[in-house]
Amino acid sequence: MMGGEEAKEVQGLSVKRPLQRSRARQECGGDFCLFTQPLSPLVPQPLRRHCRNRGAIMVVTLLALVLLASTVFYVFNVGQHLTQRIETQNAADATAVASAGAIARGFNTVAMNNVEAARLLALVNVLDAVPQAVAYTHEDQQAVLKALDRQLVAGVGPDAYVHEGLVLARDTVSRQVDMLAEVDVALNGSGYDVAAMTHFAAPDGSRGKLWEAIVGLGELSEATLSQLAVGVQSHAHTAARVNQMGDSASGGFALPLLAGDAMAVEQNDFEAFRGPVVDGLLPLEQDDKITNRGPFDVLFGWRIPVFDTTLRDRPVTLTQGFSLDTGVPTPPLTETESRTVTGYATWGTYRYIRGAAMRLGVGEGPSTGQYYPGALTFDPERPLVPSLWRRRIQFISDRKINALFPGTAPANVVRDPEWVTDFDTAAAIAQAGTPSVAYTLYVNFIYERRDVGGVQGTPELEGWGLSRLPGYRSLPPSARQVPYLWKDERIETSEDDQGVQTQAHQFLYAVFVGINVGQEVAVRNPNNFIGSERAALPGPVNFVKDEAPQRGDAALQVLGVAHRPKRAALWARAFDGTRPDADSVAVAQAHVFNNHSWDLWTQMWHAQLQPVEDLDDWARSLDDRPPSGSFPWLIEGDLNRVGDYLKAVAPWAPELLEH
Amino acid sequence: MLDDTAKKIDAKRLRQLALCRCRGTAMIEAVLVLPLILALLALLFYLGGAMQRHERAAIASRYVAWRAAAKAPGPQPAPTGSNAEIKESFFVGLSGASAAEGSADVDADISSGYPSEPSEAWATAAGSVSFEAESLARAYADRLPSGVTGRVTVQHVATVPLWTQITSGVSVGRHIRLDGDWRFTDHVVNVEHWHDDQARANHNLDLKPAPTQGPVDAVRDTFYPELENALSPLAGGNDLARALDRFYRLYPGYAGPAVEMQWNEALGFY
Repeated sequence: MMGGEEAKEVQGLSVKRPLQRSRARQECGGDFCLFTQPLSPLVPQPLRRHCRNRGAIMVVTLLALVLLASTVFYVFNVGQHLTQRIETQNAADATAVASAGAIARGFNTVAMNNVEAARLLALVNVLDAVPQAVAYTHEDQQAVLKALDRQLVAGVGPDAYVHEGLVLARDTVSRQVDMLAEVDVALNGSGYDVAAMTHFAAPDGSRGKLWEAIVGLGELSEATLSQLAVGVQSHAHTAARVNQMGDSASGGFALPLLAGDAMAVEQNDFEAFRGPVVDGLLPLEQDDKITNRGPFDVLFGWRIPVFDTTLRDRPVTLTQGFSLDTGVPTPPLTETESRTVTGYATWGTYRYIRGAAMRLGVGEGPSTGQYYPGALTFDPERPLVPSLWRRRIQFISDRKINALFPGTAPANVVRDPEWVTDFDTAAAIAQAGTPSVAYTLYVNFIYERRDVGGVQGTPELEGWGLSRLPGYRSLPPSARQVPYLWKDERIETSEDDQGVQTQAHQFLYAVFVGINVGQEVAVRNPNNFIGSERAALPGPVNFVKDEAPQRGDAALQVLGVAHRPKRAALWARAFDGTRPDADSVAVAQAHVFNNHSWDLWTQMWHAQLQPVEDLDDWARSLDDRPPSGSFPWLIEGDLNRVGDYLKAVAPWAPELLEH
Repeated sequence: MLDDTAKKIDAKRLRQLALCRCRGTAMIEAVLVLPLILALLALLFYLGGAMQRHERAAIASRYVAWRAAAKAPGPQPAPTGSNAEIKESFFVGLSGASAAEGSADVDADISSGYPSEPSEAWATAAGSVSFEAESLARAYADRLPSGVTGRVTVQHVATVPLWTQITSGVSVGRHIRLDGDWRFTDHVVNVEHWHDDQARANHNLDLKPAPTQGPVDAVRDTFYPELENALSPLAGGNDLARALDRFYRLYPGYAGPAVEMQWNEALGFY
């Protein structure tokens, strides 16, 4: 029965529904069909259905492939999105630190301009003294060289070892004379006049270059502060763009849009430079020993303790050396080991610059009284050791700075070097009394010989230098060894634990150089203002007194914002849809501070990231933005979208920004 | 009866014939599509890894740039440091040489420079005040640190040739940030270590070169190069000329007492 019904059905199908059969053949056909012949009409229906299901796997597989491909795209897009989120956040960090850094840079620029202007005001006076000091020192050293040559010819008497010291000293002084001759020509005899730099009114009628620089520094400070807000936005925009890997639609800005513009600054008058140049203090009583010390103290460490001279703790003995006047050892000096410090004082750029110039002629070791110690060998870092350079540059510079800021330094007399090197002539001049003798110069050599247990050692050269004695000082005839050479000796005896006695013999040899009978000379003044020119010079720029920003001030907080459109890299039409947050937005906050002194003199302004605070306030600050066009690279649409986004997410800020 | 039997035999034969014809097709279809599926799956993993490399490159490049700007301790690229340290710090798991699908090779470098727009805007603003101010602004911008770029390239060294045909396997992370804020660096932050050697040197009151973030050379070159021109012919063999040259370019520096610093053995810096 069953077989008959099936056959009927098959037969019926073959007759009544040819299309189905043909579809079945079609479904089983093509490249994947294994049936090469049409199915017999006798094939029962379940079998036909079975055959028609052939290819279902393929369909499912194709669908799966589409799904898998979509997944691949999705993974790629999500990965890309995550990478972009990282980049956007990195860009926001860079934006925040760049915009806060722009403020810090602006402040530091003004600070270094102020310090540089104070340096130049000091340099004007010291540098202007250099040609004269070089010329005078050149003459001094020529006289010293002459004396050494003369002594080498005259000999050294029984102590032959002194000859070695004389040769060593002559080599050094000869080298100094050669150097000084070249520099003397360059600065005094080649047509170049340093006055073109140092004089306010240069000899050719133009403004001195250093004074031009002082004016230029003031102008740059003014321009820097006036465009601070623009600079902040420029830095912010740039940092956001370059860190979003070339996405042309990306951008960024800093909030508030007028960051850095709220500072109360002022340009002081020129006289305000006196404090920094002379005393190392901030001008116009802005100095505060606790919070506002300026760079000279807290940054450069230019301070010396102030002692209470009425209090002396414990006397100590200092070995002072020899007396050339009497030929006997000087009595030990007594000083205090420690004194009570009552405070400290700072010094300004003048003392620093002048000290740097003086150090070219200051050797190592103690420099007490009128003794100018030298090194054993020539020191290229201090090429004028030993010489009278230190005194020359100091006295000449002091006269000049006193013309700019009266009372800065003692008014010492500057004398022309006019050397009388012949001993007898010098003695005659001194006896006659005219012209007056400014000072007498000797070259000193110190040798030491250690005799241990009665065994005599070898004298060794410990050092050599110059000694300048006021007026005319002839050494005692008893100490004279040979013409122009005197000798002095002192002995210190000690004994060790085994009872071995050691005698330390120190020998001082003094070679007569000559007397200086030069008279006081005039010193030219580089601060040659006429009328109101001085008052018209720009002064330093600083915060208005009592209105300097403080730590945590809103004016020193910046929010960096970076944004870029959310776009799928692959199959954008399917993956990108309309969404409320069309941009990836990232924020970072930075602040500006100065951990040394809150002024526009101390070049220690610093920008640093910090946790984001009060996102809602930041978002609202966009409502009070300056008119469009103030920052040409900022697009109103971007600001609106980002502002809306920030306002929308502000309620969740504590959770979103949990650091 | 005979007819029934014949029909049964015919139906059975047909069924056997049909079953015989359909047998194995699923297997063949699966064998055909399986490579596609496997390729897609592999691509999925590969892209996931690539994205991970890209993300880590972005993070590493930021680190490299910020460390360099802060002159802070920590792993740093060659030649000062070692790219291997960067690799170990940021690409652990991706860089394992034992990974079956290959390994990653990391190249990191630091360069200085920053887009010129901000400094150009600054110079233009200064130019509105005076030509000298603009010249000085440009001189500062040229000489003082501008920005620092950290660049990290991760090269996926594929053992499967297919990947090298699909993609180069290179991920590049680049981060640029402002380099410092032109703070005074004489004794506070110097070169690569946070220590105070400069202060010790200064304590001896020697002349020293101008600090790297000072205005001296920019101001001199802008306003008064003449003295340099007068002294430079002598400077080669004339120690006094050289000393004078150093002196007049001397910018205020630290001259206070030496600060005692302790070497931190564990961290490797003062």
